[in-house]
Amino acid sequence: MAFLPRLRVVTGKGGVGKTTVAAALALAEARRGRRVLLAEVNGRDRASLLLGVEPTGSKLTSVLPNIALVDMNPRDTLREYVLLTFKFETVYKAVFENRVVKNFLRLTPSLGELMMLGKVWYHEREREDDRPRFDVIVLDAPATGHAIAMLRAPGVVQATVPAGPLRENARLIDQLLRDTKRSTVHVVTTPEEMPVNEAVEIERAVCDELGMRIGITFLNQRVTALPPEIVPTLNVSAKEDKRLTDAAHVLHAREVRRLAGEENLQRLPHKMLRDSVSIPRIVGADFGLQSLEAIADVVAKALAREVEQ
Amino acid sequence: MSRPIWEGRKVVVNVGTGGVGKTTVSAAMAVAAAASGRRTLVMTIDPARRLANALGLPSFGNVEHEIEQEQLAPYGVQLKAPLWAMMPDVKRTFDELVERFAPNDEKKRAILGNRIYQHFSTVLVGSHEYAAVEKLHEVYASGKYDLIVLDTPPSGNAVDFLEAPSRIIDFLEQDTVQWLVKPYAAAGRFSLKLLDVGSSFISKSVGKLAGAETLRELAEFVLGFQGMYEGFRERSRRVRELLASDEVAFNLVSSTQRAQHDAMFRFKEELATEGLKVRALVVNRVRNVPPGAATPKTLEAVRAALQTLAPGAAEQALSALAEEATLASNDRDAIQNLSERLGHVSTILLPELASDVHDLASLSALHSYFLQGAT
Repeated sequence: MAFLPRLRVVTGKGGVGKTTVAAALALAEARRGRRVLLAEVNGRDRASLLLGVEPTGSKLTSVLPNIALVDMNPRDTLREYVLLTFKFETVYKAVFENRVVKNFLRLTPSLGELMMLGKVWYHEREREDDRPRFDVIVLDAPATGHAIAMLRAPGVVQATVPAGPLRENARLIDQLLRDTKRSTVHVVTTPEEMPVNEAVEIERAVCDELGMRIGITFLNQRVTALPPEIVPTLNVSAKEDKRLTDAAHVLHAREVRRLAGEENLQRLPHKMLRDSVSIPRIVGADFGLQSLEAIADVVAKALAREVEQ
Repeated sequence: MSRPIWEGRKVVVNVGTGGVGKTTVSAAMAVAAAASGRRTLVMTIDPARRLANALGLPSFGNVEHEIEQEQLAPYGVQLKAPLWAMMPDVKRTFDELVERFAPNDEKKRAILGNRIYQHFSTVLVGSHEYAAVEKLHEVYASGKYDLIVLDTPPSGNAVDFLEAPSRIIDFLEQDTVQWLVKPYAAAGRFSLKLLDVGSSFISKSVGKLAGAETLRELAEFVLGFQGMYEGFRERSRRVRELLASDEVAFNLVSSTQRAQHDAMFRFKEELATEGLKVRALVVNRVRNVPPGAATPKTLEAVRAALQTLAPGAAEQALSALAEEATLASNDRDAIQNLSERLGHVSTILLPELASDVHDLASLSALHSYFLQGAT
């Protein structure tokens, strides 16, 4: 039976294509009929750009069939949370727009991160017409360090904040994150050294420390191997035709880089490599919706094979 | 003839988003400066220990670590002046500040032992940036170095670390205490018994959200900082002055990815708003294909040369060549576009190396690009 989690958290080093993978995951889930909320964190509306829709900012908006989009930020999320708690806009304005209180809120450990996870948690539970409003939430989480800090936030709040509503919320959010039937973490990495290092770091934090589940790992921008005899053959011919020297050199450098990349990927934990999917490098002047749909094809095949652990 | 980008400066600050290789660029730049005879320190706030990796060092702490001449010599780099590296530890930097400015032992212990404080330096936004500028000031004032290369924490905006000191002071300010513990702060005594935080409308509301206990801990923390603001403020003022002076140069570090170029433009504008000018743009990992490698004639020759191989091999080689040429030409266009948007700022292009930069060999290979100066 297919694995149908409620929450997919996408993270990885900055610049490896997290938002692209998150958007492709949203498309792939929507294609199989699931209603998706794609939630960015301080995303500067990059997902809307990729999907070719109007920017939504922090206002949750339905943008495509089966896909709603929101770009969360700590301030607006806190405001929403306070309004839910206190019910009165005037209270929010009088209290929470006070400069001093704003400073206090910034000082409370992990409050911003917790608020955003709280919003995810809220929408996971939200119901419409007697069924969940969203079948799955794809959280385009921040890069490694900030993502780990974010996922730790419920724990930090439980450790530092004495009993109260905030702590109770943190406990519930933690429950969702650790429920391996409902939540899974997707790491995105390219075959480069630092992205792989950070993928290893995330795996350690997520599995060992936080007790969450690591799902499919996406190996982005993987380069396909060339037949090994190409470069030597070109080098032989280059003795007569000098133009081939540069061509041989370019292809050789490409192979050296590719092999270095493959070596980097071998450092990923066995389980991550086993459950990984390669996304080929897309080379072109414009990366548009078409390229994203092509990646969504690859992701959709991977989701069809995904099973509960 | 162009001049090295550190000429006439004592501090070089490299800013950029995450994932562009800022740490590598900073380390290669520092190697180049030391090779041209400047006593150089490269500093990074780097939880991933990238600089330590790049320089082939075990992790090093809150003090500077000298890179020995013998370590670089095998790669053909001759250091004409000493080179140091430092990786300020955020928590320890704050502890040192508390120890320096706390008026007495009792307050020092109260702050260092406070739960909020213990998490404060690790979770507070801006604490990395604050530690960076704090350490920068300290090493600058020591007068030990001709040049300090500062690798700033990856950030969504250029001025994060400029604003960090004032932001931190902002929420440690006395009126925070006065609002939260209003009736009792006036008593002026640091006593937990006096902290009844549930008394005002504001603290009641905040208390309902976060729990009254949190407020009490927080008030204790903020009260602990009383009497230390002057020291903090003075530091912050001096750092600010230094960064705005002619002794400091700001460089933008970018990759060739267009997605990052909006951020570069924004960074430049943000710096300009602060009255700071960009000295140079450093573009890292530029892909380069020699012009003759993918012309139609060459491609034809490649096809002919590979005729004897298994079917499909020639096609694979041709599409790989075309791909590399496209990547290189994308990079060229992107750089030109970025340079135009930035108003033709001096630019240094660092080539993509065959392997990732993680060792002294690669740093040595890159350092020469800084010796040629910016174009």
